Amino acid sequence: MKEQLNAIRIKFSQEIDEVQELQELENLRIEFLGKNGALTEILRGMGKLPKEDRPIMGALANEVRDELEAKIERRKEEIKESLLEEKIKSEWIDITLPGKKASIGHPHPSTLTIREIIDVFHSMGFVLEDGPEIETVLNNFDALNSPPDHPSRDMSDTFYFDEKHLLRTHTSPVQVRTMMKQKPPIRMISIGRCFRNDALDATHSPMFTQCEGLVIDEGITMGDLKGTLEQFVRLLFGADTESVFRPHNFPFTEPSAEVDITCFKCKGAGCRFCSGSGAIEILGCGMVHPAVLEHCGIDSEKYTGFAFGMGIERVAMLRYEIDDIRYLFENDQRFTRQFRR
Amino acid sequence: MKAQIAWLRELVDLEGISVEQMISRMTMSGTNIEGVESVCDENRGVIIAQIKSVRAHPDAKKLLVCDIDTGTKVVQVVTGAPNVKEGARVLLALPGARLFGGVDIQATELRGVHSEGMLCSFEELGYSKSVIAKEYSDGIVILPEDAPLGEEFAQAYGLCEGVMEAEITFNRPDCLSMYGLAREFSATFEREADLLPRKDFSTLPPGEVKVEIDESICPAYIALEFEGVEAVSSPFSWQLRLMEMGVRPINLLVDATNLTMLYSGSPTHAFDQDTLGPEGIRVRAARNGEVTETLDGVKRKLCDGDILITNGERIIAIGGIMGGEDTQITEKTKRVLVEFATFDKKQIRLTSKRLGLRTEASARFEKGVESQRIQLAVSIFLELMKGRYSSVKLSGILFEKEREAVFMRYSRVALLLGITLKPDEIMRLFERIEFSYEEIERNGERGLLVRAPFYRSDIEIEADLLEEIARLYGFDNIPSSLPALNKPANQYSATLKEWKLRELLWALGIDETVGYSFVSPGHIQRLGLDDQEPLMLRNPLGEEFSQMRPSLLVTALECLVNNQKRGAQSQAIYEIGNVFYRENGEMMQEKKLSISILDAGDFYVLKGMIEMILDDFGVEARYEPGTSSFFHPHRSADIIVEGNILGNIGVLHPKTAAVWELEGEVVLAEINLERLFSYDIPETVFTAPSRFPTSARDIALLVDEKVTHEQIVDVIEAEGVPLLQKVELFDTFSHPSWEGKKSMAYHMVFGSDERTLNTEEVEEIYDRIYTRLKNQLHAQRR
Repeated sequence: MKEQLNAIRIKFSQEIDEVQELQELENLRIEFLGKNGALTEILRGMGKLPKEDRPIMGALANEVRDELEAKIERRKEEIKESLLEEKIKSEWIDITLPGKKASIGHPHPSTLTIREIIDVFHSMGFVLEDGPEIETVLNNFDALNSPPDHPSRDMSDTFYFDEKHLLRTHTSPVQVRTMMKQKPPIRMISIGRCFRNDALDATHSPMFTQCEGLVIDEGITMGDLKGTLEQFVRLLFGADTESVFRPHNFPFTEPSAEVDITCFKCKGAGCRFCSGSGAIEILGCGMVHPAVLEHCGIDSEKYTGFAFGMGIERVAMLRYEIDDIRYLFENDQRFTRQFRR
Repeated sequence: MKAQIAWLRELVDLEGISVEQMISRMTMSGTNIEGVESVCDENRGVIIAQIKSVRAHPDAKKLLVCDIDTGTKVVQVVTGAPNVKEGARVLLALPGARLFGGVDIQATELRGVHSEGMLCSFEELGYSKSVIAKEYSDGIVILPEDAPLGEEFAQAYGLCEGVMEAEITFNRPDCLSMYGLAREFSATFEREADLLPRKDFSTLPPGEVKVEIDESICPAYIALEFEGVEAVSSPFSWQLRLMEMGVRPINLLVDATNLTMLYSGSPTHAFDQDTLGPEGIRVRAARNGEVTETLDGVKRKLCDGDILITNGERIIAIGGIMGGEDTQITEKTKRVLVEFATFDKKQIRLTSKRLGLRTEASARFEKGVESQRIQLAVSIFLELMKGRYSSVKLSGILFEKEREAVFMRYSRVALLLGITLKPDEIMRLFERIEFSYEEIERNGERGLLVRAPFYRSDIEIEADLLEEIARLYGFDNIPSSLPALNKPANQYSATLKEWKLRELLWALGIDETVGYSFVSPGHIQRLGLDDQEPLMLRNPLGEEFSQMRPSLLVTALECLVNNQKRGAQSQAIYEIGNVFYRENGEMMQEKKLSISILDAGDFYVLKGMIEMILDDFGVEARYEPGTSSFFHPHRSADIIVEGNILGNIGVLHPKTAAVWELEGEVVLAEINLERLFSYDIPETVFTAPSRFPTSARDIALLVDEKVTHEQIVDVIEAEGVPLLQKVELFDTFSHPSWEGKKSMAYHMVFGSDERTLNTEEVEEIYDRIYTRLKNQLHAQRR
């Protein structure tokens, strides 16, 4: 009996090495360990053994069975492993084929610039206000202290509907509207379309976008004007951007200034964007004229303030190196699709 | 305003101050210097030489051969200039010199004759044809006899530093003169100015001409009558100065008026007195329909109010704008009447604009000319003419108006500018600009009562004085500060909603566009919009920009067409902008969103986008058959929210598409954003999901093809309450053989928050739903 067990063991070892598939392995299991398997047969013959031999042989037979079972399990794992490996191998794909994507929309460069500017001013505590594009002569000029003979009022500069209505030439009327409805402190910006009777060419458009701001409170000084705008240009164009305030003249502010900043393309070295000067004129600003405050019902003795304005297209054109303003209104898909959110 | 630097240096002591310093410091004190141009930028090595002899070229009729003394040697030069003559001082470019336009001069042979350089004209030095005097226009420059032989021309005549272009702001018309600019230089650099004082000319004999003025349009008029004058060429130095300042030299008299205007800022005009007649000068307003010929040879039609200078019978000039043809100075002129006047600035502006005639004179008159300035101009003119006439007489009327003093409180300096200045520091600043002052106390506040000089018409209120302090103190010296934030900003919800919307539109793959707010009326017609009361601009840039757009779809279609022409395959675009219309006579505007797709999907693709947007804004809409004429009548819908039209959507009507020459499938939508943003986005309040499992059932129905999805869902929902949690369409299908039928398949989910539903219960609801569908919509299960 001992010999028989050994023979089974040897035979099993030889056969299992040849097995490659799970079904063959199952067949092998049945051949040796199944109901009519070789080992089962031997165990059945145990009863014929002398009583004293039975425990020894029983133990031996169990040992063999355990061994065979363990080997089958191990082989099963090996086969599964190799099958999976083969499957994985067969699953090669060309990862350089293009992905399946939904298209994403492209923003207008002016919108990108507007968003940046709103973000910066919002971080500085400014509220965004809105106003109509069709304005009154009163809000667009008179309330802003524009002299009756100022050339900007001419038909060659401003689009009119009738004696009293026009297309706003700047967003300043929104400041007037805000001051009329709200008491100081005021800290606002407004952004929107403006219109001037300029023929369309590479640098002029009859429609453009302006951003203007206004701060009114007790004790607002020209130092505050400088500090606020310096902060703004540093946040928008980079921390190393310097500002120079040059005296200028606007009807609605006094003193008035224009602001040149370090060219953000060449960092002041001089390039084609700043015509070699290293500086770019970007803002007009000044202390709100007392006549403007008084017109809007704000006590110019108690309150002072400053206002500023800039062209969105100019900033966008500089930033994205767009050399012709007409691109901004042609809506050419090949243009728009160059911009990312 | 042009300003020759050499002239400035004559008027102000600017010793040791470079042009660079002038540019930067003047710009910072308020006179923006936009650029400096000099003949020396383009020229070098042009010297003053003298022609010794002239002889014919042996081999060329049109050429001459000259021996020329350079001061150190005699060279031979061949020239084609007709005006060379022996003994003349001329401009010679020797080999190695460079002329305007990068022309390098070399010794050369001209038709076999050696030529050691070139004789130059003003044009070759870079002067514009429009400023070169007639006598030099076709020939070389002939210099005066005292021109320094052998010296570089530009240096000898002080041209190298060049001419500044100063930007003069609206409030500083006084700087449209060398007088004003010199004072600004003097104030900026704190250097002495040496300007001609205003003469007292009460000693001049009274004129014979009777001057009659209408004070409302011409408050001051001075006439100088000169005898024994000659309209010869003016001195070379005058001519050169005028050319540098951008004015063409004409003759001694006209040049004197122009130099006077450039110096003083007061325009003057010279008439040939013998052409005026005996009546004298009468200034009056024009009447409609009068006509006169100006000295540029153009007949001008006049209107009521235009200011006219007449001799009592006929018009001799349009006051302040241009003189007449038949009274101008000629070679025959012997007696001259020179006009110094000031006119109603508003009328000058109106007239010059209407006639399209903006002259150096009108530009100054429309800013206003003070009496003192006229007095100054008379002084300058007399100085220029000194020794060039036999007698002078003066007649006319002047008004002196004292400028009102303005009170400025010391306290406002710190309050407005944020700087602390002592009273005497403030006084020093005012002294620099020659403002006189007096320290006083008014209403308990100390300050200065300041009187500005006559030429500073812009100084009217306290803020004007504070501005003077700020610019002289230097904007760059004012310390920067940040204002205290007394009230935190809260972003308007409409703003936030607009950005949320834009993000969503981009995520949906839609490109942004920006269209003009004004469009061609033809485009609006081609869209088939019936705009009853079009909003037209009175002065549009052109027909294509003349009407305010009543719909964003006008510009959207234009954009689709243009991009299709450029070869774009499919397009999905949006615009957020205003539309304009009239309501009860009022001009209205409304913010809208347009989305347009071309070959990027059908009606349902765009409707899906709209639904996603509305879902995201928490708005529920119904879709009713569309009413817009430019949409396909059976493929368009009005979007209804709470009973109001929020917008519309539809396939472009095939006829409209044909008119626009658009090919492919075009679907458009327009949404009223003011209305959309007016709905509050519901706040999220968490509800716990049910702990009990749900049961799902599908139902596929065969219905008549005109039965709508909305009708089916309404029935399912009506019968399904309260256990129906969700109903979704998952398939539609139809087959030609079905003859007017279609299949609609729905997925329904049932459940309860309180218990697990049993199968019988679910079957029972399902049957009820089906029965009702069958009864109401004649649906059959497939």
